[in-house]
Amino acid sequence: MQTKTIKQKMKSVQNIGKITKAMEMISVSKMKKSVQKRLASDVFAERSFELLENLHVHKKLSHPYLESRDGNKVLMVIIASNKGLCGGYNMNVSKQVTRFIDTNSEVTIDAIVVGKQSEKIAKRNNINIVASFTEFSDYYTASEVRSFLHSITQQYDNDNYREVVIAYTKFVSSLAFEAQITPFIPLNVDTAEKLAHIENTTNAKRKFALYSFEPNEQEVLNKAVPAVLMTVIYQLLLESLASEHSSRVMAMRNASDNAVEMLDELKLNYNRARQAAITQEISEIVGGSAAVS
Amino acid sequence: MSDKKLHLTITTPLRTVYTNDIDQLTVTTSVGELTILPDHIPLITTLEIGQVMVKNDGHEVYYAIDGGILEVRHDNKVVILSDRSENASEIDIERAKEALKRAEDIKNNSSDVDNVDYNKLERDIAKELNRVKLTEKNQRR
Repeated sequence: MQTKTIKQKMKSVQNIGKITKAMEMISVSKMKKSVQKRLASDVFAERSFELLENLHVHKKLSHPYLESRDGNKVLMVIIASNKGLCGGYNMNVSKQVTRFIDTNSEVTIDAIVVGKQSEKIAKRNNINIVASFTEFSDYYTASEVRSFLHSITQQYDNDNYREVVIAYTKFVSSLAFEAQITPFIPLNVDTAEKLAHIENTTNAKRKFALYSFEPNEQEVLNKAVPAVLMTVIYQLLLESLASEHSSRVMAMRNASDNAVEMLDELKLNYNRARQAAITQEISEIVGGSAAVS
Repeated sequence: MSDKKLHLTITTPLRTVYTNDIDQLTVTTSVGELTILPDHIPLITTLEIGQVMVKNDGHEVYYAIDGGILEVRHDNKVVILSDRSENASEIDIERAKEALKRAEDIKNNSSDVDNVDYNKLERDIAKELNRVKLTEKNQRR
């Protein structure tokens, strides 16, 4: 190969490497920020779950979102990314969705999607999209999450859905995450606590027997249920976000490593080509002078 | 004033807004205004859109709250679970006023009456009014 073309190729590989390196570093900081935000909501989650558990499990009060319903329709919320270049992140969510459809062939599924990629997932699986959210800001504001939750509950109220499930990516650590589908409404206190990573230490749980309630217990529960739904959905959104970024970190790290490897190889080729050109030139000069003398 | 203090935590789904020891606290509950002093009986009550007045060492600090739940524990710990809360100094008054105007415009001028969620609008207006009032109160002092 010509030294000039090799040189050009080296330059472009180098530039790509720089870009992927930068993307990797950006994603690392974004991932850290999402994890921090996720942890900041723990206090609220803990308190609201405590309240819910006392009123619902111990005092046997009820709320429409705590009761199971009949029907053959399921509302699925799919959380995936807006952008690509994040490894298998979206594909894994898609696989879970497909598996859910295969195992629940008797139900009709409607979807509320978050992210442009989940629109594609829904279309690929022939799911009817009832609402699509692609314009959320970087780390979700309170009003965005609230309107998102509102559209889920409204859809659930107005149609005879059996349940609402959420397809999201659970963030285990910065190296491990796992796409999964989890039930959301009707709210089950135990599964929801697990989603929020709240330890179920029964002896540490306080009973609210001594408390007085104003105006009454049912009113308090009516406020506690949406609060719990809101934290759960917010935490799932942030976990998916953290997983997306950490998936992107890995993909970009691979790309950067590959770029370095490719660059080494090209450098070797370049030196070889350069050496060959010099050798050829020398032999031409030697040949030329031998012909003259 | 007694040397006993209340430990107040105001928290929202997004973050913990305030956590500190305080002398007293006044909130607007769904059945009326309520002041909590140390050694209050355990109580759980629902909060309306309104203000939370926190008093500590003679200083008063105001928080705007979009409703929520108040929990007073037997060990002088008070927790407010709010949908959303802001310190009066953090409130962006221009934005609040703008939002208020927008909500009222929709309410007054909408030709498509069926599509307007009046309950939500009323709530929006109440929230923004609350913010505007609180900021003006703080500026006067």
